[in-house]
Order: sequence, then structure tokens, then C-alpha cells
Amino acid sequence: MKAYYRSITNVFFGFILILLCLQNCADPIPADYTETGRLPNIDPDYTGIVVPVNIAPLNFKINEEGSVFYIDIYTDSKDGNHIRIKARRNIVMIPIKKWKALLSRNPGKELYIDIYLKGKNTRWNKFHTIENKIAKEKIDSHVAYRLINLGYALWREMGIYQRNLENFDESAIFTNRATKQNCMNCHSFCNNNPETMMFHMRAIYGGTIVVKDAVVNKVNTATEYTMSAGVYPAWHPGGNHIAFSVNKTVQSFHAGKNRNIYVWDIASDLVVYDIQTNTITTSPKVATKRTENLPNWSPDGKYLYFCSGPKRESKDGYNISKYDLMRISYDVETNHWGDVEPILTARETGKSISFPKISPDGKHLLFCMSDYGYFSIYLLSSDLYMLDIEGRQYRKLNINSEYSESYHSWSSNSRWFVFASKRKDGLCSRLYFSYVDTLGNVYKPFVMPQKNPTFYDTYIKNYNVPELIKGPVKVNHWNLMRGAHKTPIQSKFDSTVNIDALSGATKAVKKESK
Amino acid sequence: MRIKTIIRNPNFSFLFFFLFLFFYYLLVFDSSLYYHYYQPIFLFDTTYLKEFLLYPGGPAELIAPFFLQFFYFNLLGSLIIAALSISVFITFYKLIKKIGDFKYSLILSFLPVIFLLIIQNNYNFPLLVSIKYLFVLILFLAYIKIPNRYKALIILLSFVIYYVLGGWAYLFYIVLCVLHEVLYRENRGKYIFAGLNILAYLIYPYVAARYFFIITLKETYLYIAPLEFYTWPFNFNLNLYCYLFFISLPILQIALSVYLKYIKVKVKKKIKLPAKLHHIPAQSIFIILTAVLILTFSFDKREKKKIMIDYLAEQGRWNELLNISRGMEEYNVLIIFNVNRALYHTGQLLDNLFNYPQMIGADVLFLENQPTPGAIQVSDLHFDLGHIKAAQVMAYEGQTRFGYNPRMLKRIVVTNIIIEKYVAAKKFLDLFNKSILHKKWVKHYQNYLSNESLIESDSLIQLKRKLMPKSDFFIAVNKYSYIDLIRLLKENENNKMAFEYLMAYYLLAYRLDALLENLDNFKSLGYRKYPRHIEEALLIIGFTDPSRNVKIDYSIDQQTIKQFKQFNSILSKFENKVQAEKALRKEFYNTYWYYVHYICPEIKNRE
Repeated sequence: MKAYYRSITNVFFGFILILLCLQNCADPIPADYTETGRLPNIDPDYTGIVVPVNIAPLNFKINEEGSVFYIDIYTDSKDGNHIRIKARRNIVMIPIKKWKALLSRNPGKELYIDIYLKGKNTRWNKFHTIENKIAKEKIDSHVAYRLINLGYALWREMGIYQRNLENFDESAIFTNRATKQNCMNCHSFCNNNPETMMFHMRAIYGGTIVVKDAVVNKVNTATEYTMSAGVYPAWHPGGNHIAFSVNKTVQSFHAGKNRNIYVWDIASDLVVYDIQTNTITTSPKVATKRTENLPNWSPDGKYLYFCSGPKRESKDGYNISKYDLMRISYDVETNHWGDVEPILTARETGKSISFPKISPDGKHLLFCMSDYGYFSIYLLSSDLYMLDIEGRQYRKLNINSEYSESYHSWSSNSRWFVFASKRKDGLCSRLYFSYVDTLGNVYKPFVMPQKNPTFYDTYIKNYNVPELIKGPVKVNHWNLMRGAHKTPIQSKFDSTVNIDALSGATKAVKKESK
Repeated sequence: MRIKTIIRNPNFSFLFFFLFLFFYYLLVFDSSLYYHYYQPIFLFDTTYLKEFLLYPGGPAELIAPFFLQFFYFNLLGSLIIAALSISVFITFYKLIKKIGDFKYSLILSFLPVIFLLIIQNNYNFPLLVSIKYLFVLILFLAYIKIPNRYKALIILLSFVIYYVLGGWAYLFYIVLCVLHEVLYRENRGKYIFAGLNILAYLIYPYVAARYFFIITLKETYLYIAPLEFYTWPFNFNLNLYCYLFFISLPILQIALSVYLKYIKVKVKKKIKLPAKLHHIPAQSIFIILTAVLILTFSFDKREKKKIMIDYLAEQGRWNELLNISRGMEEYNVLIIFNVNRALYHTGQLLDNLFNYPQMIGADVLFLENQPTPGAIQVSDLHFDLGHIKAAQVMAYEGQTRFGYNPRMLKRIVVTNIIIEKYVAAKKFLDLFNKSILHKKWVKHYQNYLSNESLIESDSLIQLKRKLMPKSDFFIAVNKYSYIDLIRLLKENENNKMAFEYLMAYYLLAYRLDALLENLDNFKSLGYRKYPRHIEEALLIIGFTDPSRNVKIDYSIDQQTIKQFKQFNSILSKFENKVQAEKALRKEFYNTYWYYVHYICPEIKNRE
């Protein structure tokens, strides 16, 4: 009896094995087909792009009528390696191991995708070959972002997450579940280093969490001489200072159908926080009656770039305010401020500049320009521009859409950047990656790949403030939580700063607080 | 003889009790109101499902919205809630039977059910707590049956129970297991198993919080329901009855153990008596009577009315809304907010506004300066007014605050279609399509996206497109919402609701000068006479400033003038208006004069 069962089992497993073998030895490429004479319609649009050698499989959906699909992925190398997938659904899920092998063996080569399809009783149709390129340079392995809902004033669940770009793993760095659903925002990393980071928490457990060398501290960066706690951050490359803007921000909602919200500042200034001495300093030069905002350090740490808008007058329309791009030298060792110098003004461009981000190699400055204002993610007109720092020439990038492009961040090797765009549905921001070659040419972006290529169709959260990082954030959520639950350490205001020379706005706050 | 056998069977009691509960929930409780209150949704969507797997207790909570979505139909909801309650009852009964054969097993099993009926008789109570409770009972029943040789393994694997049910339910399970080991086992290993259970409770939640889930220590050990249930509008709290519900079984375990140990002989004797079965019908009757009493006394009719009013407002059943709100004794901002909407929709806003207590004045019109975020209701009001973007902003806020709320998702879809954002509408329709309950609704609007003529023939969408502002401005907030009414009127002078709400605002805020400036509009909007409260306001103006020349298009009703004279005559009889209040309240509580003298917050603040 036992032998009988054993033989049945053997036959069964043998059958399974044969099936598996047949599955692996994919059908041959259809030999008899008709050329459609056009590119296939695939979603996401992974055509004509440059991809990092270490990116996760670019799974996609074929938006073409068919009942059988045949996909052939290969490069122009002579090794003859192909990934061949035959599917009865229009969802293409590329096996990750084969994909990794194909890309890692062919950096710098062309990457081709052939798509064939046929109906129930029709012949095979073949579309034009999709031609992409595999870049030699890797992208930083992770991207950190905040996931937020579509509401502007209320919130519930919120968190800062990290995604491994080499596969599909997403994990929470920290969520507000452990902090009574408070608000958390403006996460930032120093030199793309996942070990050195910060983020703010608002309302309950309010304060700024600063993580350095695996030590978690919570700081209150609001002082009696600053109009708010630190808002938009920029790590000094040295890792011991963070420049912040301090802002009095207002949200206004549009009643017209084409715009949603306008975020603007009644006043804003810049400050620099010294992590080691727990001191906030500023200068009358960056705390003027104008609205200084959105700081960013040059990679050598000698200059602080920032945006500067005119002082808002009550009679002004909301769409008047336009920001210039400025910089000021600052020596973190001696606490010495140089003079403010304009880099690119709204008068020159006719537009408003925001979120300046300098590439780590110091060659390019990526920024947003919109018709007015600075909170570019909510501005339809916001597009990405690039300034050649040496030549001071700027240009609009050909990667923009009719919707907002914003929140860009460079990879540590300066060859890639990520940005948030609402191009897919005009509503939710998604992450896109673009390649930048050594000459500064920027290539067609591609959306962050997901295991399920239809994921974005019904996902209703926004990807917010993406930051490329060189590896996963290792500080444990437990330590972050313990840090978050602590009473914040009160920062000191630099006693050497002449507070009477600071902006009227700051003084007004000073008065109010008294 | 056969009937006797049937009625002496406990299963008959359970069936009888189930039917009783079913009809109670169907006819009195109205399970569809529970749906309206929670707006649950279950999506066959990986992202949605994943959200429940990210914290201990989440997997069990996934079951709740699946069942709760059927509460949309009162019949199904009542069946489910009755089935849940009876399942708890039956499991208790089986547990008691497992402990020993008692004369009053049925009544003993019913004791914890008493508390379940009380807490479940409240719309604020999250059903997922009962579901977790039932799970624990079933798991405990299984634990009792496990032979000792597998017990250590089961305790070791109990982290799965912790993950599925969460800290509080796990604690409850562990307490039951420990008590069972200590009180009912007679082997030597009982203390070891009890100790292992305690150890599991101490270790697993800690490890979970320390290494796997982003939750606090308090949450990891004592989590029972998501944070949003503790906040508005649910405001759930673990009250005395909840605690009694949870501790009743451990207390029973202890009490029965004592009983068995010290009165063992007696019990043994009685077990031998087959006549014990005749207690069953009597016990059943006792249980039903007790349940009737409990359910009658623990049911909060006012809470039901509150939810019913919001439900009727959502349905646009305005006359019914006004009918049931008439008897409300308690002042509630949300009720008055909806009553005011109903008054407008039934053409009574400016005639009967003060038939209802307008205690907080103009703020009630837009739910302004309120501590609770009534995003859903405010979105409804803006939608009524044709202030579509404002309705949409509040819908997005509501969606953010309350998650996948069907009411908000529907609003987002419709407003996006109205403002011609079809891609955004499609996104939400595709998402909504993952719910089995709303497919018909989704199909209806999906057709719109591929067929513009369907949109053109939809009168609601066309009306809203006509009413919505064509020019852009910033939506007013915080005490300034009335400015948007002026803007809406500027955009479309036939927006009658905006006009009446503006007039109501001027009345409530005692801004009679502004009211006078808009007096002409009554004629242009086709009114045949001034509404009652406008007449009352005009009489106040004439009385306080007789020299003022007010141009009016309609004469004031003689009855109103007569009443005004009476009001003033009563007022003049008293030394001051405070003393006159009682005399005036009886006859004039529903007049603008009474509101101005005794309620209007603007005037009170000035005084």
C-alpha cells in the first residue's frame, strides 16, 4: 500500500516538475506577426528613458486589446540574454532576478522591449521596439518620503517611509501612530546619508527630531526672537548645522475650478541651528522685511542659497509675490555672515523661484519656477529649471508637464534626481526619476516602479518631499519613538545677534510673545 | 411531548433569543444608522488590506468593516449583530458546560451577555471589540480542549493570537487561560502553563513594539480599538460596562471554581437529575425578560435621533428631519445645523428659523468655530449652495480625517465631475469600484466619463455647474463664511439658498443694516411677501429708529404687527428684560424679537 502511495506521489511531483520546466522554457518569439507601425501604449510610460543599473523591475500594464501577450526584454549586448514573458493578462510582472542579472551585465547598453499581442482568433501583432538605456551610474538605493492624504488642513495617519529602489520593499521610518497621530513633516538628510537626518513634529509632541550618529535628540528650535520653530531645513555638509527658514504661513483655498490651494507666508526669515551648541543664530541680512525662505547649502558649505520674496503688502493680490534666488556666504566655524548676492531674480525670469537644490558635485542648481508664490507642489505652473552654477545660465527642463513639478532631490553621485509630479491625474503627487549626464543633459523621467503596475491608479496618498539616500535609515523606530516622546531641549538664541536689527516681522512676533 | 422536548433544548432558547435580538436591532436599534454613523467600507484592494496588517490587532479589525458594510441594509445589519451576540452567548454556554454541569447554565452564560447588550446598544461602540471578544472566547474554548502535551507549543505560537487580536484581547485571552490552568487543572504542570502564558503576554507585545511595529508600550499591551474611535464623532471610551463585560467571565471562572470546590457534593447530586432540563424554558423566559429590560433602559433614544437627523439630511428627507427634530430637548449644534438646512429646503428658513434654538447664533450656519470637525456636514452645505470647490475641499478634509469614507468618496467623485476633472473622478471611481456594495453607483458615474451627453442630461450636475462661481476667489473661513454667500450671489443672483442663508446670517448676527441693503432681492427672487422673521426684523428697525426711512416692497402682515405690540406690552410690564423673559418665552420663543432680547450671542457679548 505504501509503495502504491509513493508511486502516486512520484507521478504527481513529476508532473509538476514537467509543468515547471515547460513554464521556464518560454514559448519561442512569435515568428509570424504583423507590424503595427507604432509604439505600444504602456502604463507607466517606460519608453525612451534612461534607467539606473540598480533599479527594480519596471513592471507595466499594456493598454492594448489582446488576449495573449508576449514580451521580450533584451539588450544590445551579444550575450543573447532575454527575459521572455508570455501572459494572458495585460499586466507585465518582470522576474526580479532575471531583470537584475540583465541590467547588471549591461550597464551603458540599450535596453529593448518588444511587445507582441494577439486576439482570440487573430494573428500576432508586433509594436515598435521600446528603446531605453541602462545608465552606468547607480541611483542611491533608497528614497525617503512622506505619505500624506489629500486633505490640506486636517490629518490622521501620516508617516515618513523609505523605499528600496532596487526592489519593491517599502518600510516606515516613523509614523504618527506612536505619537498620537500628530503631524510630522520636512524630513531631511545630510549628504544623502541615512544616518544623519531630521524631521519636525507639530502639535502634540511638537519639536524637531535630529538623528546623528544613531543618537536621537528632540529640540525646540523656536526661541523668543524667532517667529516660529524651524520650518524648511537644509543640512550643512559638515553635519553639525542645519539652516532653517522660520515662517508665518497661511493656507487659502481657491473657489475657482482650476486651482486648489495657495500657501503663502505673511513673513519669513532664515536661521542656522548649531547642533553641537544647541544655538540658533541669524543675521539681519537674512532676517529682513523681505521673505527669506527655502535655504540650501552649496556642497562646500560656504554659501547658503535661498529664496527671497518681497515684503507682502495687504493691498497686494495673492499672485503678486515672486521670489528671487540669492546666496550669502556663511562660515559655520566663525559664525560670520557675508553679503547677500542675487543669483537669479524674478525680474530676470518673470517668474517666482523656489526650492533651490545644488547637485553634490556643485555644478548644477535645480529649482522650481512658477508664476507666483513659493509652495510649488500646489502651483499648477510650477516647473523644474536648471542653473549652470559656473556659467549662471538657466534653462527650463524638457521633463515638465502641465501639472506641478516640485520637491526635487539629487542622488549622491549627481547623476540622478527625484521629483514629485502630479502629471498622472492632476491630483496626487508621484515620484519620478531623471538621469543627468556629465554635460548636464536631463533625460525623460520615469515614475517609481511598483510591483503592481496598476498601483497608482487607485492609490490616493501623496508622495511628499522625496529624498534620495545611500541606504536604509537604520535608526530603530523604537529609538525614534522614545526620542519623540521626550520633552524637547530648548535651543538658545545666539546672544551675539543684534535682535533690534532683525526684520520687522520678527520684532512683531517678539512683541506679541511678550 | 415533542414540543416539550424542543423547548427544553437549549438550542431552542438560543434560536428564540436570536430572533428576539434580530427584531430588536431591526425595529428599534436600526442597524442602518450604525452604518451611517461609521460609514464603513471594505475594499478588495491590496493597499487597503495592507493597512490592517501593519499593527497588532489589525487583522481582526479587517473583519469588522467587511461585516459592517452590510449594515447599509437594516435587515442584514440586524442579522449580523444579532448573530454576533448570540455567538458570544452560545460560546459562553459551551464554556460553562465545559467547566461543569450547572442547574442554571443558561442564566450563568447570559450574565456576561447582559453587559454586551448594554454596550452594543450604543452607536458609539465599535463592533470590532465584540468581534475580538468572540474570537477570544473561541480560542479559549479551543485552548481548554488542547491536550497538555501540545500546550507549550500553543503558548509559544500564541504570538499569532496577539498579532491578530491586539494587546487588550490578548490580555483577556491570557487571563482566561491562566485562571483556567490554576483553577480547573489538577495536574502538576498547571503552574508551569500558567507561568508560560503570563510570560508570553509580557514578552510578545514588548518584542512587537521594540522590533516590529511602530506602536507605543501602552498600545502594544492594551490596544483595543483604533485611535479614531476615541475622537469625534465616536468618542468611544472603555466605560464601566465595557470593563464589566470583560471581567465577567474571569469572575465567573473564579466563582464557579469556588462553587465546585466547596459545594461539590451537592452539584454532583444534582447533575444526576435529568429533571434539570425543565429549567430551560423558565431560564429562557427569564433571559428574554431581562434582555427586554436591559435593552429598554440602556438604549439612548436621543443618540438615535441625532444620527437619524444626520442620516435624513444626507438623504434629503427634509420634512421627516423636521418632524423628528421637533421633540428634541437637548441643544446640539449639528442638529440645528441640519435643521436649518431642512428649513431652507422646505421653504421655511426665514419663517421658522427661530422655532428652533439658535443658541450659538450665526456660527451654526456653517458650523464655524466649533471644536469638532464636521467636515462631512459642511461639505454637504457647500454642495447645496453650489459652492462646489468649498464642498470638495471639505470632502478631501473629511476623507483625510475619516479614511475611506463612502460618503466623502462619493462627494469627491461628483464634485470632480462637476468641475470637469474627469481623471481625478475616475481615480476615485476605480477605487470605489473595489467595494462590493457600491458597484451600481460606480457604474452609473463611470458611464458619465465616457459619455458627455449623460452629464449634460444630469440635472443635478447641470444645476451645480450653473450655481458654482465662475470667477476665482479665496474661500472664506472662520467667521467670514457669509462673505462667500455674498460672492455666490454676485456670481448668480438667482442662487436662492445663498440669499436666504445670507439673510439668516444677518438675522442671527444682528446685522440689520446689511439685511436692509438686501431687501430688494426678495422681490427680484419672486417672493410674494416678506418672510415672517424679516417682518419681525423690520419691526425692530422701525421701533428702534422710527426716523429711519426704510423702503419696503411688501406691507407687513397685520398679525405680525399685533404680535409685536403684545411683545412690547409684556416687556414694558417688567422692570427689566430679564424679569420679562419667562412671560415672553411661552408665547414668543419662536420670534426674532425673543432671539434678539435673550439669545443673540453678538448682543449678549456687547452687553
